[in-house]
Amino acid sequence: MIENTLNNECPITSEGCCVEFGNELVLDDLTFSVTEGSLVAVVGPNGGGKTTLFNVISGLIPVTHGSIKIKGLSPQESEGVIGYVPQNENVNWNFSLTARQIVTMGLTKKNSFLPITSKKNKVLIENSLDKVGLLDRIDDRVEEMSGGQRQRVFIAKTLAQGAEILLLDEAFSGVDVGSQEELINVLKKLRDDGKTILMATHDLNTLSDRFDEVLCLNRHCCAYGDPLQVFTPEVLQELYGSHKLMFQNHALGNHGHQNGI
Amino acid sequence: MGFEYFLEPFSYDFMVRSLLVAVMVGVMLPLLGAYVINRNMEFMGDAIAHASLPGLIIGLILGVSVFVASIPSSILIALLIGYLINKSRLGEGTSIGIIFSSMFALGFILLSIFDDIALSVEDVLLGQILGVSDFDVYITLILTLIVIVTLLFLHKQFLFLAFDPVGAKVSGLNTQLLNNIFLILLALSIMGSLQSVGIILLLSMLITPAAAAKIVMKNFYALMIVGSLFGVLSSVSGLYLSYYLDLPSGPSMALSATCVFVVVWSLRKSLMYGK
Repeated sequence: MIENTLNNECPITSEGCCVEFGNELVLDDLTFSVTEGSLVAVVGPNGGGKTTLFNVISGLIPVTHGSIKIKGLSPQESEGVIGYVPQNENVNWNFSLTARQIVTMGLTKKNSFLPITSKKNKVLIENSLDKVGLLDRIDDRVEEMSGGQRQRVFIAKTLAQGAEILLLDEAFSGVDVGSQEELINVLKKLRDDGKTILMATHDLNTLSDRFDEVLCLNRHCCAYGDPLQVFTPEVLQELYGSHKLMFQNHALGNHGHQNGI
Repeated sequence: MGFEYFLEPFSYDFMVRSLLVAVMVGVMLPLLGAYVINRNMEFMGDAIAHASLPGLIIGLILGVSVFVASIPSSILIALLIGYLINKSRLGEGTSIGIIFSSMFALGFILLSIFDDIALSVEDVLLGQILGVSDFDVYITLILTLIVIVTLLFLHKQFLFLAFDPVGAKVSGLNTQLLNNIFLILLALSIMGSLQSVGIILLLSMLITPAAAAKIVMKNFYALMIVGSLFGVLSSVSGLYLSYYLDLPSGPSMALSATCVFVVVWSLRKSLMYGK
């Protein structure tokens, strides 16, 4: 397993993080740290723990053993630092909303109970949409936009929120190649502005062109590092080999410390 | 002549009280109905109405206003359903179904045990707005104000929660608390409307005006406002039907709401309002 240096100043630092759901060990002895201002792909098979990891980083799921720190704080203490971009199917599209309305949601916490949006926040909303290249569509309905444009609207929402770390769950799902390129260009610009971005993806072919680092996840951290270097035959076997073989040493209570792969 | 036809019923005090309650119910239910139809919570609304029956009867047994016992009991039931949905693996429909049917059954068991209480089952099930008292008007006014003011101050939070629940939680909103507040509002609005449309027909006023508004309005907030206008149109026209044709008030309002829906559906192409 490749490990990079642990550092509490890193935006995300995981030390021996384990997560159990009932009798199932979903994440096992996860140790890695993400470089600030990097664009990181999280790859692995379905059921490999990508969404669970995002939920742990977001503070939605507690860690069973070990720790995950967001800029040195627990996920629960780092409220607002994380911006979450949901999968399309996790959004209730019965609500027909404009890009402006969705981006305004990023200000819900700050804006508290005021029924109206202040001038300052209106400018913030417009700037956020401008950064993702959709200012001209601010009053268009998002359900009428393409998959890539929808993702960009949700990214703008996290920018309005002031998030420093962006989590994108399967952002390329249902997005055509051209829109994927537009999306990744937006993410690269945000990365250059200092944002740290993690995106779960299944597309291994374009990783080295699109991402700075890759986290290979199959319930445990198979590898972390430069996309051009981490994909050895052994890592690929660990990632996409037989699940039964992979998990035989990751039993409950073991937490990968004894005979873990 | 025509104008007098509209004013004549309100020479009676009971009709003035009924009109006030009809307007408030017409405003209150579709405001929440807009969320209910978009969050697919129709069964939840129906269940809270049905499960309120034991509370109503306990109120009558104790000799107090039906609101005194039914409001707290309906809030408890709404929160219990919410808790079961979150904490059990039963699923929403199953959790609601268990509470809904068991509380409705308990209501009828209480009715059969305390068979000397003055209660018309037909009025409870189908509504009887013409019998509302001054006290009922005040209570309905308070409930309507609570619903409107809470929606005014929490509409951004409610919308975020309904549209992107995971995103709302990650951004730091207390989604559990917000969900409970929404369920309490739903319970309050249902309690404030039971005398008008009854347990069984309440769903018609909760969802039909909002559904009619959704046909023609894309903007969610416009949907809420137009839904309320359709709600007032349905409840007040139902009240007139009830008065002039001597029809039960609840079914009259429910059918008026259906008529509004059918008219809007028929004219949807010319009524459709863009953004």
